[in-house]
Amino acid sequence: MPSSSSQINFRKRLQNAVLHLEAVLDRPFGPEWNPLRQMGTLSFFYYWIVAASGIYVYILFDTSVGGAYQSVEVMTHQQWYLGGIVRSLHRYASDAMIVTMVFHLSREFIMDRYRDVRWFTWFTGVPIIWMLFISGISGYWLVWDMLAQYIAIGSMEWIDWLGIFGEPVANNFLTPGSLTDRFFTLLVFMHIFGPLFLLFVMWIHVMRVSQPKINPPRGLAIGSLVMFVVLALAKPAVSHAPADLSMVPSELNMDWFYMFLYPVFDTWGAGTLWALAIGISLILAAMPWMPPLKRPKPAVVYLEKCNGCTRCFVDCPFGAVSMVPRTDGRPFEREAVVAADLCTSCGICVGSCPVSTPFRRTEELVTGIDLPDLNLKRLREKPVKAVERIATTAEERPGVMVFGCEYGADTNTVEKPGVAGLSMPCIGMLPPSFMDFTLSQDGVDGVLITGCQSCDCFNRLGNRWTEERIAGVRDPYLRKRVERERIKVFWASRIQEQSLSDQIDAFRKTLGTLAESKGDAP
Amino acid sequence: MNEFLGIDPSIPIFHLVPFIVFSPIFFLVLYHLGLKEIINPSPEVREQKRLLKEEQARETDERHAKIKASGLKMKVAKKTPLQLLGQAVFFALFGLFVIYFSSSPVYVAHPPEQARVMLSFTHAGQHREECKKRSREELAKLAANMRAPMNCSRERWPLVIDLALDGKKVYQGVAIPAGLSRDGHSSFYQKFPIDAGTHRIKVGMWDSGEGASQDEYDFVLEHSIDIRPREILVIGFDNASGQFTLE
Ligand code: HEM
Ligand code: SF4
Ligand code: SF4
Repeated sequence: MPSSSSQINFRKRLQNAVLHLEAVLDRPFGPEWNPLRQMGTLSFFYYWIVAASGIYVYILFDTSVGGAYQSVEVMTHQQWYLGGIVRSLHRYASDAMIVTMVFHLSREFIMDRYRDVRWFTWFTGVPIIWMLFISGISGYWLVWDMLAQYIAIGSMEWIDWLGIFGEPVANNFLTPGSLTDRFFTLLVFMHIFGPLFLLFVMWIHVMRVSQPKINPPRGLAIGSLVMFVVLALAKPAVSHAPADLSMVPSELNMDWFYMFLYPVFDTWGAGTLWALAIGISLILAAMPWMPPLKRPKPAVVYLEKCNGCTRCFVDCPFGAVSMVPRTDGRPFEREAVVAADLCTSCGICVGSCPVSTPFRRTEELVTGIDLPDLNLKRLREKPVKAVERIATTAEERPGVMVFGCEYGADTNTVEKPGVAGLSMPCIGMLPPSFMDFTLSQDGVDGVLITGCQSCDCFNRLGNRWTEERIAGVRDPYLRKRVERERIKVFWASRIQEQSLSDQIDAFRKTLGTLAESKGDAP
Repeated sequence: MNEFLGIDPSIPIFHLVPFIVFSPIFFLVLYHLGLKEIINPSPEVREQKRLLKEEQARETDERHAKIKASGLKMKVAKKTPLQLLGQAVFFALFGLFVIYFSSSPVYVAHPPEQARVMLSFTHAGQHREECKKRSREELAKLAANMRAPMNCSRERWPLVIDLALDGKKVYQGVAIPAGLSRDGHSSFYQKFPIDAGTHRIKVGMWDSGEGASQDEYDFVLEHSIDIRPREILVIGFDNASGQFTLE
């Protein structure tokens, strides 16, 4: 949790702004396609577009100083229908990647998904920023036009400030004769190895993420591709005048996504820019510990109940569970072990453990894997208590129990006579048998499941697993005997508490008619 | 050190020391932070990964089988035309943003009517002291492997340069020799804006001591130039002939 209240308020306000913006885009896209929740996957997709178009552009490219510019001109104008379009795709997808990356990292920051266990993913995001800029800027060198000349010399002067090389590297660009094919080949190499290394860090970035979402939903992929092709036709990417080292580049149509730092360099100088670049990188890299997140205790395995079924292992969104050879001599092959430094205490494993069933005496209520701070026993007390309250007065029927999570709509706000709410760390913590159990209690006519919006689960996969469990396609399933009309799923973010409340009212109405038609009105 | 390693003496190896020292440390830290899991996963980690893949595949297969058996459609709802229009609006705005900032607004990196004079060269200053022949007594005092007959301080003078345009001094600069013992080359890399047209340019340099008087430059060049807008004039130095060059 953030350390001071002003910080909480500031972040909460930002979060609400993001949620409002997303709610707007939910309307045309639906929650599953909402691009604001797909910025990471879109970045990956744009990378593939850039890589594929890059290969084609490279085939047409002449890697000599003298021939580079002309070869780009030929592909742009003579082969506009293919080379020109591919070149534009290459440029615009690279630009869009900056946009999606910035949105992605801002969103992870605002939604507080970067501290504690998630530090690795955030931390490895920082070199991604560097590599993306290096890749993009080195690409612009290869055109070898006036813009390339300007940013190549600027880049070299920036590096020269470090004094690593005895003779300034910028001297390679001093006079028309000083730029050799050999040096130019070096630049071409940078633009090949930069993007390859970028891919490598992108891979490391998602390495610790269990079952990472790499590919965007089809709708967004198609939409983006169409957009890039339209952009390519409407405004093909073009070059400036050819580079001429005896002339100063003057008026430049800069690609501000990649080059916004060059004017900073011109005005403030190399030293300041180094201080800025390194300072910001260090601050970014240190963010997961500023301040460190204090979270509940990690999940614990109760060996006497664990049968080594591997469900928690498969379902844990943070790769915190591993399966090791059995240590207690019981006739199972394996047992679950939790790595405390990877566990976010989301409880999703509790929801996936087949032993987590409330249909037992309270003394026996121990499951294979549980959260110490909110264990199964306490998780069961709450609905039982709430149900007692609902059941005491007949006019409160139909009674609805709302299960929600700490990050979506607050279930406390929807409580009223006939409606009780319970929030847990993640809706994925709720074993389906609990829905069954709650419905079997006197006074409860329906169970409403809520939590973060689709594709926006704070714990990544909790709402997806829950949907699949209720649909009966993911272990452990909600039993067939449970009447599906009595279970309703409605994902709602914190700013959608009113819609949640409306949904509950509507749900109670249908439950009422259901009861009448069955003739067992309360 | 450079001579010892047989490397081009103009590369000050000492500047690389932090990189040589810190790179392995940085790599080690990265390695233990997670690179290890990629480059050299332990058998346990490898087994975990294999098992996870296997179990995930099994789970996925089962799920697909169940979805098929139950005739369930876990697909995204079809979009209405109005929704598609909304999506088009989103992509149009996104595209406009990308296309605009990918080449606008124009940045004036250099006033188009001005030209530029550049001062760029590398030259080694004179040694600060002459080499001294060691006397027999001095040699005897040294360790056996250090008994070189000449005692040479390799320290060099910094370069001091003056640049005047049309009789007005526009720049005076000092370039310190590279290397920890200040025994390397000194470099200048400077740019000056200049109005297009004809100018008288004078550049003078000392390489054998600071503070010498103005009329006694070690090297000097005075020249009349005619420069066009955006043209670059590079003042260099040819170490072979010991003369300034204009390009
Ligand atoms: C173009 C570059 C990038 C790409 C392609 C990318 C892609 C991804 C992907 C695919 C995920 C996994 C999403 C999921 O399945 O939950 C992810 C997660 C994440 N990314 Fe990035 N990312 C990029 C840059 C960055 C940067 C620059 C940062 C921050 C400095 C960052 C911070 C994070 C964080 C904190 C998560 C963890 C989310 C979680 O564990 O819930 N990413 N990224
Ligand atoms: S509590 Fe969440 S993060 Fe921890 S082991 Fe269980 S599923 Fe994984
Ligand atoms: S889900 Fe439960 S029984 Fe299965 S491996 Fe995990 S802790 Fe053990």
